[in-house]
Amino acid sequence: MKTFKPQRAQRKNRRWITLFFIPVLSFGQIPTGQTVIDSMTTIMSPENSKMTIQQTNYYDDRKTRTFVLDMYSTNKGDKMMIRYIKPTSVKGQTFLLLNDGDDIWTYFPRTRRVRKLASHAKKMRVQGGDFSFDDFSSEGSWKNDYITTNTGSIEKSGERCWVLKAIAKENADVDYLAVILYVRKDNYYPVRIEYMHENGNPEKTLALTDIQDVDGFPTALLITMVNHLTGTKTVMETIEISYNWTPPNGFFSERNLKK
Amino acid sequence: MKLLQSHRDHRVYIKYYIYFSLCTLWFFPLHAQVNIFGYVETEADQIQLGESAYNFGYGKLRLDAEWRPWDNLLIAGNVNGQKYFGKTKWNIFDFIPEALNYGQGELIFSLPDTLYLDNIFTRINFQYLDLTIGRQPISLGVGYAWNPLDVFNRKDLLDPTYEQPGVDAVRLEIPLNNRSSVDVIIADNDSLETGTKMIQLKTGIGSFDVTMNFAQRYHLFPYWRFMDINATHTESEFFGGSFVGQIGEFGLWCEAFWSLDNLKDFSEFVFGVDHTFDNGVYIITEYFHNSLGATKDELFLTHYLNTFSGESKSLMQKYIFAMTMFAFSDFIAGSVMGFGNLDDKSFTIVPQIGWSILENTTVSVFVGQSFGENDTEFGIQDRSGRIRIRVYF
Repeated sequence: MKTFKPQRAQRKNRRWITLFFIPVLSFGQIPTGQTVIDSMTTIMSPENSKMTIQQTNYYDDRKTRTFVLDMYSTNKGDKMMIRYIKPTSVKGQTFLLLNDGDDIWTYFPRTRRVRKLASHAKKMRVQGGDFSFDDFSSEGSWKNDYITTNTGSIEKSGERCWVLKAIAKENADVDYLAVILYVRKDNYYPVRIEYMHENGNPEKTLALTDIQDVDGFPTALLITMVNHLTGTKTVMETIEISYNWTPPNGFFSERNLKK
Repeated sequence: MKLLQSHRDHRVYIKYYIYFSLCTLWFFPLHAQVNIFGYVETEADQIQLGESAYNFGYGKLRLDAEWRPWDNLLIAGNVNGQKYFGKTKWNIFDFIPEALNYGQGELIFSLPDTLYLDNIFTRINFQYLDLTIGRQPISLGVGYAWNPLDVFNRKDLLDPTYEQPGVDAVRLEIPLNNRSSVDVIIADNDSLETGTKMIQLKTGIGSFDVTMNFAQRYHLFPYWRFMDINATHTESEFFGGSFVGQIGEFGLWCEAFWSLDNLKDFSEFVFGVDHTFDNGVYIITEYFHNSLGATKDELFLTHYLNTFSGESKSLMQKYIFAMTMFAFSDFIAGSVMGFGNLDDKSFTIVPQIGWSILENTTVSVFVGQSFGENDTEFGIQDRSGRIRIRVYF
């Protein structure tokens, strides 16, 4: 498994990303919300990824639940597989998400049964945490479902950030009508996302920290989702990660689900 | 002949036990890759039948071992030990209306403590096919409460997702592309001739998964004699299929299975719908039809016996199942399940609570209340209750 330090061969990716930003920066103007979203989406969507994550759910009564899962994706997150490793009660349970999460299959190892779920299952919380399967889907929703405005820049988490206000398009099938994003000015990586409740206050806050360069892509190795309504928190800590992984033929298939 | 067969079965089981014991006790510990895991489950039940209430339950240990000497080879198995307590001898006639058993006699079945090899199989992944040989879990079909296509198992309506016993079989899965495959299953009975054989072709069409199934098996069919109805096992060929997908925000599925022999009136189908609301509440409902089941006017003792023995997937012909699930808190989920026999108008409603006490410990509690006349399938039972604790290791 790769470490988080960029290697010589991976610098090509970084150069490509830098070139992508030059048109935005050279004009010296405030980039539009859409431009920032486009840049953010690009750097957050490597072609392939393979990672091991520890998911810890913190509850208001100080109880915790810890899960370890392998997550694989290809085609910029269009195809994804999530396989639970720990604890024993869910070990081997696997989810296959295709077509940006519109088609979901789940595999139960004790019965060796594969069940296709309708896309509404994306709304389900992942193992009782504050993430849903929809949160794991590709970043396309920002472009397709929201109109984004750049409201200026502030300092957030020690970084100069653009503050974007994203308002859901009419008839968009999204959970939040408004979202505020804080996106770093230097590399267009988000450090904080606030999912707004109808009352105008944040319902959930996503904090992306410990951002390191992984195979040429800035990557948050610690992702925390806080639910302000329930007082719960879910932390996704990356244990291993690689973007240089190439999925074998037929990896994202029902056959591999059962392996 | 029966005796001979019985001896042969015992020999096979003894062979399995020796094989599995050798593997687990001697061979597996020498290899760090072997995974040993499982669970301990205890269950206490009460059922109210007329004026009498009966208590019963069990303690169960399931010990799984999985060994992957190479990436493309899996050797796996599990041993189950189950010890029953409370009432362990039951009179089947207590569950059958008096008018049908003529108020006479007893037909006792007992639940002895058991230690058995539930699964022991080897799975090899070749480049173009997967081969699984041995006693293995097989679960077919897209239905939740009923699976007409699953000729190897029968589900318990109170617990449709509970693991099924292993099936002695050879299974060949040939992927054609990412969403298409051919699945060949030959399950051993007494011999290859009398075993169950099934071929399943599966593919994806848009957001739907579609299967076509062809099977050959000995199946129970009713046949008519003068002034009597009875049933016998006859070999027949079956055709079936299923689809599962969604229309709009609703998941849809259907599964059907019928005899290709026009003289044998056998068909089963299930149709289901589910949906998850934005607040996380999940609802599911299924309708099941079984032509082998009795009608209200032609219900005989044999129908009950065939149902209890698992030969028929239902007592009568038309059934409905519905369930809603919701989370009370981060650790406690509630559900209300209901199922009913539409022919005799009897129903059971089962509210249930599932509590995840610890990461590897779950507790579930339910109370069931039946409705219907005393001579109906579910109405003959009044109330039931269950508490189950499962600890994974």
